[in-house]
Amino acid sequence: MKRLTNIQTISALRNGMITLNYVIVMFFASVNLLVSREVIRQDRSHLFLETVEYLPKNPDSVFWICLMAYALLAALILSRVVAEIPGKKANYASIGLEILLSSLITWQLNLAYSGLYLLVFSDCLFHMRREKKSANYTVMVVLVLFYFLSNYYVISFFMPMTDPMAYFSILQRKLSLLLVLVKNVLEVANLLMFVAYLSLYIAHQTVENENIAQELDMINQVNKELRNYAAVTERIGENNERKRLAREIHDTLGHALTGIAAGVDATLIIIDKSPDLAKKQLELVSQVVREGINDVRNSLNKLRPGALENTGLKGALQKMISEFVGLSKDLSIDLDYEADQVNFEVAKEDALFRVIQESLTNSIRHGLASHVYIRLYIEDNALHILIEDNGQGCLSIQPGYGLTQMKERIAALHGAVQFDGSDGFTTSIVVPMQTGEYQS
Amino acid sequence: MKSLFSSLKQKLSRSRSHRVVWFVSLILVGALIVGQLRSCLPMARTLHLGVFSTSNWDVPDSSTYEVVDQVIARFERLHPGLSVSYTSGIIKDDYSSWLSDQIVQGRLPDVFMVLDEDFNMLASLGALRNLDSYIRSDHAFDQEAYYKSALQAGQFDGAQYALPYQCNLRLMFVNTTLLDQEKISLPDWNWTIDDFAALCQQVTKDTDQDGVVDQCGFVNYTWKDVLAAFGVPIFTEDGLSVQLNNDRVRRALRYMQQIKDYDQAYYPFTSADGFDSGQVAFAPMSYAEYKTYSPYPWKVRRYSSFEWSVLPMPAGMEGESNINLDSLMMGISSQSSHPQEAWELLKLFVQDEQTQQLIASNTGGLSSLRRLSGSFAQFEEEDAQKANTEGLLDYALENSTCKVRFKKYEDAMNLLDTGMNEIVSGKGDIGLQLLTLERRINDYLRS
Repeated sequence: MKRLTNIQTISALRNGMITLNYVIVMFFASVNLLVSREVIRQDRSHLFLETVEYLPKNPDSVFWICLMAYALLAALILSRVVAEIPGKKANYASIGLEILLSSLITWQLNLAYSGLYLLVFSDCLFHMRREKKSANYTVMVVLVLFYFLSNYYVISFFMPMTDPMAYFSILQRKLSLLLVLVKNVLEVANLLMFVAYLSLYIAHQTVENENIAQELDMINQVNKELRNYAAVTERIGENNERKRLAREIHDTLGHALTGIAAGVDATLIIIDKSPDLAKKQLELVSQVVREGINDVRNSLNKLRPGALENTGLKGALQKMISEFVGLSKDLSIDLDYEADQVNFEVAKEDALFRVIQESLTNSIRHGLASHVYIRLYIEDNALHILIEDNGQGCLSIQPGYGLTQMKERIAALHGAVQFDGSDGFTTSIVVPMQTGEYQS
Repeated sequence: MKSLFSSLKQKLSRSRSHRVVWFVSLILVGALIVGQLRSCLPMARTLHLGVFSTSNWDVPDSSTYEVVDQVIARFERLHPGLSVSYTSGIIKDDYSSWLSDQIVQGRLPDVFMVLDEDFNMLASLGALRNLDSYIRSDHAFDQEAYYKSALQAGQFDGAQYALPYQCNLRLMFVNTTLLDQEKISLPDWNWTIDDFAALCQQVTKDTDQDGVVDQCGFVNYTWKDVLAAFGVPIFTEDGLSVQLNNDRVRRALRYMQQIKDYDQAYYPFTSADGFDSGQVAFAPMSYAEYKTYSPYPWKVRRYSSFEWSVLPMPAGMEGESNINLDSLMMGISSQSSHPQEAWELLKLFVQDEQTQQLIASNTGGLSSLRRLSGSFAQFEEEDAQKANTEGLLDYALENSTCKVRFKKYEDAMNLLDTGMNEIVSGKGDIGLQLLTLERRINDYLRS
């Protein structure tokens, strides 16, 4: 069972159908051609025309058109390896062309044979399995309609048509019966192959679905473990950070404050005896205070985003972008930084960086965007930041924690922020410039 | 531009099936463009013509190709870049089967002659192009120029599928010398079959008193002529049934029985020369026969011993003339790839005055154009009869009717002929016999 449902068997069956249909199409085209010649040789063309109902097509051109069109059709079907899932557009174009070619051949054969649509149907069935259900159904319904409508007895009711059976019935009874028998056997063989293909395909699909369900289970398991691990790691990181903070406070503020306390105590003792000495002592304390301030500032600096500290806003953004892009293959982010001449103060740089980081995260996490465009520029004495993505967007925006915090950060800089989720997601931020931010 | 190109290239190379899709679309579009371009390019194009060499009216005629060649030469002069070809050597009897062969092979000529009996089959098969739109949009084409019945012959389901190339009709030839001898004056054009019977009765007699009737009223006047005179359409339009058991048919047969004594064929001992013998007063003959036999030396050989004249066929009733018009038509193939050019060629055959004049003077047929027939110019210098026959053709054509035609017409007509002749010569009950015959023919028509 396993071997029967694997993709090679299905592929082989499809190739078998292609060969069989080739035989059938050429059988009909040859019958048309040979019977036409025979009818003329036997001088029975007038009799033939009386049974044929409508002007017959040129049998030579029918033969060649069928041959060529079938070659193209076979090339189209064979080029689509069963295992490969091509792009959406190529898929639809290919299906359209296949239907077109089959219609051409069927029409050339006076609607004697419509089994070609079964071949196209089975081919489409496989390649459409990843498409949306509605598209799937549309194609299938169209094909089934074509299959049933491509029948001489249906169409000749609405418009005059050449009777394809006239080519058989004009022959001697024995020969005619033999040819009709061959025709029926070929058609039934094609139908049987189609049914076999269909059942194997469904079996294959069931097996595949089971496999997918199993794999999903496994992934869920792994996901859970990872989440636990992440929680543990976070806790450890938090602890480390706490320790570091304690150490910093102890090393900087602790030292300084201890020194100051000792210095001030000493000053209290000597201030009456020797004011000059006390003055000297206070100068020392003042120096310790200053050093303490420096130390505290350095500690705070260590808590800033590392990138900002070294390379400024532009560099930090570039670094963050390269990190984001490195995470996902499908993602591309364009940065247009047109504010090189401006130098922001540290807190403002921090806020802007965090806001852009938050937007990017949102675009990727919620919008599933594959392209983000970021532009920073100065206009009307204000800094404008534009972040556009091609993601899903959202029609009604319900601000959560992230957006609210973004608003608060920007409001603290006396700026304004706007969101637009109608076509992708666009965040536009305006922050007024302050004096002294321009660099010459 | 460059980036567009490179992105296209990148897309193309993305997968194998992409490339094949592109390749197949390219071939299909290419085939379409080539097919379209071929008709637009100033390449030499050939129109095929389907004609036959002999006369349509079963008379010797050698000038069909003369007319065709002249028309082709004029057409090619008018339309440089177009040439016209035809298969020569097809005689009329083979033409229908030749045309069928061409249809089976899908090689129908662009413009071809349509035999009266093939017309319905060709039109219902869809082999003929509907000419209505051409007639409507072409202001140079005048439908009114044709006699109504000639135009009707090319109509099917209310649409014009073919146009009359030439036509022919039966006329009554009268031996005026014989009438003069019997002191009978020539009847009017609007004479009836009763007049005809009365005249025949007067004429039929044993002139040399040897006990054998040797002077007869008519020869070759058959039940078909009587039915035509009554204007009885015996076949239904679809050709699936025949209606014989009605008053008019019975009347026609009784009439036939009444006049059969005046028929030369009724007297087996008289000379079998018919009208040529000079012993017969009336003989229906087709116009083509007249025309072919009238010029020298035919005329001398055939009608030298007596004077003769022409009349329309007698009508069933006063003022109600019905003469069946035979026509040879031309049509355009529905598969023609140059329909407009084919229409121009067709017009040159069927409506050009020069061509039609040539047909009128060189072939057995009549032109269906009013202008040419009306003048009686087609009857050549028959001085003696000229006064009498002035305008006769116009009168006859104006009063002609279009035949009912269908696939089995000829065979059914032969069957009918045998049966009718039996009834006329027999003595049984006409109604009963007609019923049997009707059933037999209907069985044949529906088989």
